[in-house]
Amino acid sequence: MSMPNNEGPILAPEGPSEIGLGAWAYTSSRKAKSFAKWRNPIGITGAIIVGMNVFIALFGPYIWTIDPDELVATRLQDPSWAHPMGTDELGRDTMARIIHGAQVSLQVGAISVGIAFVLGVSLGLLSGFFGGKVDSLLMRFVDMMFALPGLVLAIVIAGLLGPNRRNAMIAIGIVITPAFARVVRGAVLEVMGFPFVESARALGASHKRIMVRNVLPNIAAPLIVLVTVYLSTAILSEAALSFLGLGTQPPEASWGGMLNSARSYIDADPWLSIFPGLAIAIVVLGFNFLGDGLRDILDPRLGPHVGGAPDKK
Amino acid sequence: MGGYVLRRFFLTIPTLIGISIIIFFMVRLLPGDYVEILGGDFAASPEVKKAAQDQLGLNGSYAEQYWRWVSGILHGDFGFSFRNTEPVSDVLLHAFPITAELVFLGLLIAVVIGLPLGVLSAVKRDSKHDYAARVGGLIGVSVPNFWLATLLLLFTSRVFGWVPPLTYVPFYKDPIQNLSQFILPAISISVFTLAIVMRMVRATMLEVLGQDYVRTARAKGVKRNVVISRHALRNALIPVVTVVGFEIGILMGGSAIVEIIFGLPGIGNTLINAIFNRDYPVVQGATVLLAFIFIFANLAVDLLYGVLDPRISQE
Amino acid sequence: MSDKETPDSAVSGGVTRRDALVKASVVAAGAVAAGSMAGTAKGAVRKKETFSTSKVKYGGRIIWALEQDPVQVAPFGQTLTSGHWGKQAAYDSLVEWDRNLQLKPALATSWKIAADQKSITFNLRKGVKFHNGKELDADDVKYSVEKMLNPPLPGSIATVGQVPGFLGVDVISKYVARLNLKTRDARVFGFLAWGRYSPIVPAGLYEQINVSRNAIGTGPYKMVGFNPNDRVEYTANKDFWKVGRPYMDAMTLKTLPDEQARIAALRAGAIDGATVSSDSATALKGDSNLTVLKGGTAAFRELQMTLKPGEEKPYDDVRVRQAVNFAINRQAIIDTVYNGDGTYSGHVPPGYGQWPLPQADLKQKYLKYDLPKAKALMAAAGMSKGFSVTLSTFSTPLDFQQVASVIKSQLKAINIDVNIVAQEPGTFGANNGLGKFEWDLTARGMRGDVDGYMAEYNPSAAIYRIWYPEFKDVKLWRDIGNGRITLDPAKRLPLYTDAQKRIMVGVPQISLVQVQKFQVIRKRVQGMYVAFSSFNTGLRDSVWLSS
Repeated sequence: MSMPNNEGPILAPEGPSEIGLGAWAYTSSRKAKSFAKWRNPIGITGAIIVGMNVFIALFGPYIWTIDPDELVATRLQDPSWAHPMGTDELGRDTMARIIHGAQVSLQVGAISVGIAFVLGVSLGLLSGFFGGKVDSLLMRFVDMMFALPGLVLAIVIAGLLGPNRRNAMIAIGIVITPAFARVVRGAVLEVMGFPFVESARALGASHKRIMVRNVLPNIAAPLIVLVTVYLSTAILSEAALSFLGLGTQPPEASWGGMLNSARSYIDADPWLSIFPGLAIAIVVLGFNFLGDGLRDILDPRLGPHVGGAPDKK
Repeated sequence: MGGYVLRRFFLTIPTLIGISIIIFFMVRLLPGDYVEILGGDFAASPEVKKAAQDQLGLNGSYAEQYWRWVSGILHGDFGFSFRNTEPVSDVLLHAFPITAELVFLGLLIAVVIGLPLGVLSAVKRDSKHDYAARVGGLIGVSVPNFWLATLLLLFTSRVFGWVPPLTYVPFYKDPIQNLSQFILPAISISVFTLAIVMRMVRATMLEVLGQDYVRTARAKGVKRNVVISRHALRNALIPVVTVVGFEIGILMGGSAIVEIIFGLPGIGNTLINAIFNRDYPVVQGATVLLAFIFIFANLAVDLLYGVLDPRISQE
Repeated sequence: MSDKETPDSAVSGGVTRRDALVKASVVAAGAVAAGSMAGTAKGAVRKKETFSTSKVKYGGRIIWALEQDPVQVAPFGQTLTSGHWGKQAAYDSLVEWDRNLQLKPALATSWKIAADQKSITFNLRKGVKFHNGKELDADDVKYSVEKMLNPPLPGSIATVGQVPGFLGVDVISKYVARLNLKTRDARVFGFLAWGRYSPIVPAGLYEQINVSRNAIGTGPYKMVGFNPNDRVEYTANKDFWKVGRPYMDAMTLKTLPDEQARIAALRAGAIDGATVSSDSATALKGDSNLTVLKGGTAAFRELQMTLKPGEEKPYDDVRVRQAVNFAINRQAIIDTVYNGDGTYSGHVPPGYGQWPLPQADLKQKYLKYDLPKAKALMAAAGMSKGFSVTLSTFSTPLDFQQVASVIKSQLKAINIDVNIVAQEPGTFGANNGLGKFEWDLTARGMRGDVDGYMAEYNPSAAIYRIWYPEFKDVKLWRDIGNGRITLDPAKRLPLYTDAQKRIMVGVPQISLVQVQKFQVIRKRVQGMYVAFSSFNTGLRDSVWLSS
């Protein structure tokens, strides 16, 4: 076992992360073998769903041109040709709002995971690469971030910076950062033990060069899977923050916000909840499928193995 | 082993101190000082402000206040709630058992259902069961829990004309009322964890089933069921322990929304309300308690690894 | 609050339909009419409240859901309405309002105002027992008034602003207490009757119990205890001074902030009643086990602006503020957000006795939707191109965000670009109190006296200097100042009418709409009504259970 044992599991708040770190494919023979796994129905379904969502977010507003914030019709209409998803409690077109929500959800996913990615990779890389005191210090910091209740952190950040989507994204990014840091650190530690890193060292390569040329490319696989999984976590978190009124600001549409206001009408006007609920579920499902598929492809053992559980080789 | 445990234990102290500092300053940075809330229109007057600060123990520099708070904790005094002058330790003592029971039941449901489903899924890999379980698991992680809670309430009130009893009764006083109060919220928080348990058990089982010693055992003629129960299941318990340990920490604070929906006066509910009310001592106390639980649950998990997997020796 | 809007079914059990509040005219013996919302007698006939006690059933426990946690139930210094919901069944004051906001004797049976109008002598009801068995006397009144003027923790001194100019109490004899005033003050009886800040407690209460979680009063129900975020438990006070009351054996107030949870509990019969939104009330109308009650409350929505020196804002120009006022279509807000259930509101809410401006004036003149006029005003102010402004509001309840969305959409017509910021209530409240906003969409609630709605325009008020020191209207200030020290309602009325009209023209704040409150009860609940004060007065005073 190569990993020091002073860390907890790598699961992150509200996020699935059974990301295997054990033995990622580094040899060409393994790559060839795994190529066959591209025939992966779940992964392909995920890719299609995510692709559709991107398409809708980018081109939807040009195809369905109703303004999502405008009060265009009688309130609480059932679906009709004029309003295929009906209208909401203020008489806005639900379909236009769902389309706008697709943009929002992608933005939330991309930016908050982007923040976690940058912070988490930096922390994890420095920690795993230098080890020793740097590692202890950074990991204590990551421990603290982990142990602070995510909701508290998010509410405080929203309170400090003002409640809007930008700050909700910052909050979500910060909340999932420690998960990235842990996973990256684990992966880096493992890579550091490989012969090519030692030979690069022996050849006198600089720290920076080793990090960029040798370490980073070899932790790409777990990172990709991690990103897809946390994209869905981020979207769900935005929905939860919107429940508390701390997410996207009115009248702008976000799926979480729509779902929250639709709860009041769940009994009499179920359509209002069904569409944003489905939208969230489908997109989150898409990212999860994609993540699952990528794991199957990228992890030769098919086996996510468990978080901080030590490598069993 | 003893030395190792002790070392791990001491390592948590700086983490807890760090958290206490972070939360102490974070709540004070929030707009809407409690002195302003208390002083209302008069908050602008220096005398009123001073009097309110003295009353609340918000006088002196932040460093002094922090020191007063921490040294209080060391004497078992967490301060008192600004909003209702109740000792924070009492507030937490009331709220803690409720959330603890909720989380316990939620995790119990997750494990009792998730573990067998995961094993089944792995053993019958690529079968209909497997796909159904995997897709079901993914749906489980895709549904916001506030939404699920709402649907459950709507469903039971509409179909059965029933909602959970509203007044909290401890388990030892009336087990049936207690459990019927907790069942829906426990299901609401369990689904996410259930899905993760299932996926991780499946993955671990697949890995173990593919390993050399298992194949050897099979080749030697050991029965499939025996292999599964002897070797694979033991390994499958590791991810369960990991998830459960981790989710204890997350769900203790993360069940707040479900607690609010079901009107359970648990710790998450208390904490969210305390933040909204700017009740600093309660926020601080609850956060430190949650962090403590999180850290020790994870510590316990790490120690359990050693028990479950003899191959893991302690450094 | 127009009477026809409350279904009769809840009332039919014993209490006759109440009359329109404005027409009522009974004034308690020896009282000045100042504390009655109705003010002067208008000669209308007022039906007597007749109780056919034979019909009333005693006993049972009601479970009522509160949409907001009381947080604490201390008698003095409560800043939250929900805190008063939690405590109101335990406490009484010297006087009280009946259901129509008519002043009635309570712990004081009669009183006399001194010739200089600077003190009031109260004769206390004899033999009234507190929940701990102690008899009420003048020392308790003295103690209580001291605490009103200086509420200890967990109370807030912020509430002292609501207390009229009390100097203190002289104990004349065991059952006679004299309340001394700084000056003539028209607010005294309204303040006492409102009850929110004026309960009478036994002397030394704060040393006897934890007032945050328990209560000792003289009210119809004894508090068993309060558990935060959970519930308040009450049992009947067998020694209550009103003979024959209370009707129920016990009362549970359960905190259920989530509306869907309240609705589910109502359907399942787990609670006997709760407040819900208008859309939810509509949905519940079909349920044969439930009755929907509806009524106006003092709460109205308004758009508030800061007018501070040194801040060059487009809306410093009164014409721009007037343009905004005329560009807002209040009927559209009522229809879109409140399902048609609402009325136009000035700065004193409709239904608040004789004081508010007539609906017709509001609808056809001051609050008329008139886009051409709004555009002309913007042009006259050189603002045809419009400007951009931030409108903050509460993140919950959701109707605030919705009203903000409608306003944003409406003000586009005069090229004002509104950015909405929805803040969690703590942050919103703090920023509002400190004047840290451009525009706020907020609400006003019940006041003990009409002065409470006007005090913020008085330059001596701290909040005036925070919100709009640049808004100057000497005539308005005079109206408000004189209104406070004029005890005769007939003389007060023109002052406050003029004051309101001046605010309508100077528009430091833009009043929007008064919303209806919906309470849904199970059929067995009798005698409940939507109280104008936004408290659940019916629960403590008149509710009984038929099964």
